[in-house]
Amino acid sequence: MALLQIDATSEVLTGLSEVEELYVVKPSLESLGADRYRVGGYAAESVIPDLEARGCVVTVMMSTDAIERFNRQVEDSIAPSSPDV
Amino acid sequence: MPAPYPDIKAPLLPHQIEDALADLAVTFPTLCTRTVFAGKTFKNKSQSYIKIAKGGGVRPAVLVTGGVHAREWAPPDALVTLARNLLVAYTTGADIGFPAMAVTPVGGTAVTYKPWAIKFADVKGIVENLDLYLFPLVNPDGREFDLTPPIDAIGWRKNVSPQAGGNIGVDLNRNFDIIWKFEDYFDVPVYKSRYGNTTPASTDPAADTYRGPGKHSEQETKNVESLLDTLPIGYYVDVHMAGRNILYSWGLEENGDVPTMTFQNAVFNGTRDGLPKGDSKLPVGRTDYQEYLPDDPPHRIRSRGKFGADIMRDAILRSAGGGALPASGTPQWTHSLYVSGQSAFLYLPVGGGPNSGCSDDYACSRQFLNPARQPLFAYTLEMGHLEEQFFHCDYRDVPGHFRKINREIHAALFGLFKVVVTSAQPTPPEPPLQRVCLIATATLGDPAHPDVRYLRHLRDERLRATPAGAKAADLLDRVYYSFSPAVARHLEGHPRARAIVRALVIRPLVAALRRLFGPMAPDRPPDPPDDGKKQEQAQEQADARERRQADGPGPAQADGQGGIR
Repeated sequence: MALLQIDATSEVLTGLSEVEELYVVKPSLESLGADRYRVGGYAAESVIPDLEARGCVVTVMMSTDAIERFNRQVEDSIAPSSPDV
Repeated sequence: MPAPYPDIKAPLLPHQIEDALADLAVTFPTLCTRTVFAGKTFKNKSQSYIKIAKGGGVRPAVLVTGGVHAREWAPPDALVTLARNLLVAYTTGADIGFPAMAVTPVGGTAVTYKPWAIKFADVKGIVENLDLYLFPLVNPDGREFDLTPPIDAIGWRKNVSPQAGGNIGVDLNRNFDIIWKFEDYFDVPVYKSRYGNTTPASTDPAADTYRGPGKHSEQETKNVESLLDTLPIGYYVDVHMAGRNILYSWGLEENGDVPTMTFQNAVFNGTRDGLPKGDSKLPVGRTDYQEYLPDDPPHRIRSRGKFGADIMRDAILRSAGGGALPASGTPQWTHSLYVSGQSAFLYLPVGGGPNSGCSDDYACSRQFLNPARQPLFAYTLEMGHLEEQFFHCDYRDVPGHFRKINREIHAALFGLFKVVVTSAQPTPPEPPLQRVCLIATATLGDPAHPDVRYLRHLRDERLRATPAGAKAADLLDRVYYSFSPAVARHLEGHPRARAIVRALVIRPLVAALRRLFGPMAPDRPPDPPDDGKKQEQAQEQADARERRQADGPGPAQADGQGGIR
């Protein structure tokens, strides 16, 4: 799963609920003016062409690989033996 | 572990958070008390909350919760940090200092922030004049699950209790006992027509927003409800992630002025639309339902609720500027600008409408279910942002996402605390009045005035004595409350107009009604044997008060206006 930034009109955004492979974080919604909005979400990179075909402008904020590397680093840092309490 | 406490460099595990709370209670025994809930979670975990206060007496109480959603890492850790900072600063007489920092947004360049501090005077004021309750981790089972390798990219939202079909977990923030069974509250087909075939919560155990098998079915939900039910909480803040939003009540419907339009009124069951005003999906002929949230003095719940949210938004911005508002358009402004708005409709363009079973609505509802409760203001904070990796923010110094969010949580909460302790003490509510006669009250100056009580008695007891009468009373209420708040507000500010309306409208009307329907039967509170004499005395006192008010606004009126003082 990659972390995506999605810009689109309200009509296009409403239709994104049909994209089952996309997880939209609704509270991240921001107005860009002129009926354009920005929202964040998670999806595999393979979903991006579908989103773009619907009229979204998609920016990959973190790739699937980058998120996985980050998560492995966190797993190492939260080992129960960590003295950092 | 004694102070000074190290910065938190990775998400704390549930047992580390419990240990931290226990440590604070031991280290600061005169300032911090810890209470362990009786019930345990599905994974047999004990949970606790702390109270931070110096001294006693009647004073405002604030409850802050975090970690309702498992994957939202920062709030529990920030609340532990806040408790430590508050106690250490109070004990040492020092400010709470936040050094200069550089924070790198995902996909952007580093933004520098000036040092910022919470002054000791404010720390002292809060500890000595506020009862602060902190429940940093509501959902420990879920957090442990989320932090168990391999960590998932999106993360886990619910708790982990076993559910039907082999699924696990309930969304605790759809499980509270406030319109939990949304099918009874809403006209679901109308709701679905507007919000893309979604519902205010999910009934599917596999879904992220599954409401659970029953209202407050989960121990974690019961724990929060018990605090809101038993403590004299005046302000409730539930800290979530992410989106840079500050939400105020209601989240279950649009806010409205009509006192009969309440979640308690079964007359509206199945007809509440969940739509914003003017929405084209409202069926023809249907009255737009709006959930009652009064804005009348003395509490002015609606405007004071929004005011509190704006205070938190501005406090975050000021912290980004090192204590002063950064100039609009600067990076510090752009990356720290939160939006405050009513919870129900903030996410409309992505199909986000009103929700059911949420913690903030449960908190807000307490004051309507129990009129003896002081006014209660409830908020949900959505901290952090896409550019700070949403739920799973980075705790390392570079890029510094947690450090920034932690500072913002401190800023928002201390901004609110400071307002709470410097405001007037909560005013005891008036005697329970289900439906206030606004114009008569404004004209006669007292909701307990005999004439006001008589009008209320006619409507609520005589007229509502039969089903047909109740329908007529509902219709009357809808018409009356469509204009009466504005008229009442006008009369409050115009003593001469009040006197004229009183003499030419209210008094003759009440006299005629008394002749027509007879006297009011003894009601609550029970009238004493010398009812007539007492009523005369009350009438004389009310008349004297009217005469004083007709001479001009007194100090009480002058103080009673505006937002949180």
